[in-house]
Amino acid sequence: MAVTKVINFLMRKLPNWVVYIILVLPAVYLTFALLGNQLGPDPIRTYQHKVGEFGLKLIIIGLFITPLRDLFNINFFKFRRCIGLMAFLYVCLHFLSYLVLDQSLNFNEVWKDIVKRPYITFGMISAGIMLFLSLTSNNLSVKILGPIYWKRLHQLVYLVSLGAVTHFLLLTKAWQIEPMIYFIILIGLLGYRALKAYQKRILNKKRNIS
Amino acid sequence: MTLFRGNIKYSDITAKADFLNRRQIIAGAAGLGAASFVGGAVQAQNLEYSTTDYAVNADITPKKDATSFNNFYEFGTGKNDPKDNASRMKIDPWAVEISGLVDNPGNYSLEDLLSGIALEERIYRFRCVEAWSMVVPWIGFSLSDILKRAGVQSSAKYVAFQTLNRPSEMIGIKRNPKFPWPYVEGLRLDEAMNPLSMIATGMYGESLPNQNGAPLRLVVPWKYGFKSIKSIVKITLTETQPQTTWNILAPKEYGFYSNVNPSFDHPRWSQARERIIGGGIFKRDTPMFNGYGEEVANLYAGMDLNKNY
Repeated sequence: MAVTKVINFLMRKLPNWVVYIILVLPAVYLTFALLGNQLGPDPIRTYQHKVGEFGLKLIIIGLFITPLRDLFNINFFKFRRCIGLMAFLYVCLHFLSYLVLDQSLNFNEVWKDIVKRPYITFGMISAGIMLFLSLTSNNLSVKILGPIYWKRLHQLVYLVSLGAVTHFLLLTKAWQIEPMIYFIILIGLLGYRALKAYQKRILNKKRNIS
Repeated sequence: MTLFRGNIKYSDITAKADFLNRRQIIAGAAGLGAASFVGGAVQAQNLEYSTTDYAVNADITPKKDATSFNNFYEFGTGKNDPKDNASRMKIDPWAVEISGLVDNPGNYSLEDLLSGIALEERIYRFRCVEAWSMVVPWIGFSLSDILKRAGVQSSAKYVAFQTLNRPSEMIGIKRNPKFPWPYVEGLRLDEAMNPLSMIATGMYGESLPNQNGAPLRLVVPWKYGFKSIKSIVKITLTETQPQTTWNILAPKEYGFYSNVNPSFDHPRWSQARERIIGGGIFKRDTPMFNGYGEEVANLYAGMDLNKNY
């Protein structure tokens, strides 16, 4: 297909650092807008929701890369690390705004929140796993862990994505459409992987028999 | 007062006849170009009112924030949705049905309901259950004024309120058909008769914008904002505790009383502090009863407010 060839060609030409810069721009803009009180009537929430949603979007986008290659032969693989790390940047800003603006660095209150409120628990677990994945998002870690274990470890992003969407689902008043959309997309993305793993197992079994 | 009014640039006060004859003004708007349509919304009418001692010593929320950052699910769940969508609600003519345990039940036109009632301005704190707050200069009168006129019977113990339910003009109802419309709220009779409980018909010197609950709404400043029901079409005096919408939806999160209480957390967030709308990035400690303890604490003497949340 000509279109996929063009896309793949362009992606090969597009340097990683350009994508880093593009993805960091909204964070810079939002943070300056927050500090300059330019985020409307409810700046703390607006900032928190915007960076949180951006982080979630990047997590979801990251999960699209594999099915896009499998099903459409479109290859974004070289941007996976960049997208994952940038997702973590937004999650960090999301967490920091909560820690500093909402809780005024009162760690006691933060701990109480984590224990008491399921949506915070889910958010914190996801962010914690992401921290670990970000620290191992470098070539050295791949070398140390070996590609198989590294891959296993980074499949934890499935858990991260589920935790993040659950965090979103739980915090809205009543049932709202937006988190549901994320949930449905995520079920599709994870379901695709489950299906693939299942097919692979059956294939392996057949191979073993013959 | 004068200084404050100068700061916010309240418009000059209009003759009473003008706001009483809103119907004619709106009807003649096209010809006159006076009360014309601005951005699809009916332009607010200036109100005549007196000032009162009900005035908190705090910065008034900027009018543009108080009229664009709203919860009014009949027009959508986003904070800007009410401002964007509420102009389709027709508020003229408007009638309020007063029923139940009253001597003078009936379907009252807004003009009848408000006739002879003097409007006054009260600057109240407004605390949303979502942990944000405003300070709003409401214009209206004590709820007890119209309850007394309706003749509350001695067996009445509660007051139930109902919001307009008109899907053709309220897009949020259409979008969310499973929500238990119409929106309903309620107060205990003694809460309703407390002088702080008011019916507002205006804010910031003008008639209420639709998104803020035109043409008349409840304002109960010591309770979370969702108790202050908007665009009221029905008031019923009852003997038993009426159902309230958020309590139907999530009984563990929203009780019948819903008094502002910083020491009793919402299951999903703390109520100890509040974000000040239009006030930047610093939060404020929330006081018990939203600062109205002196006026209302006696209503709850002997009650466990952690059980009756």
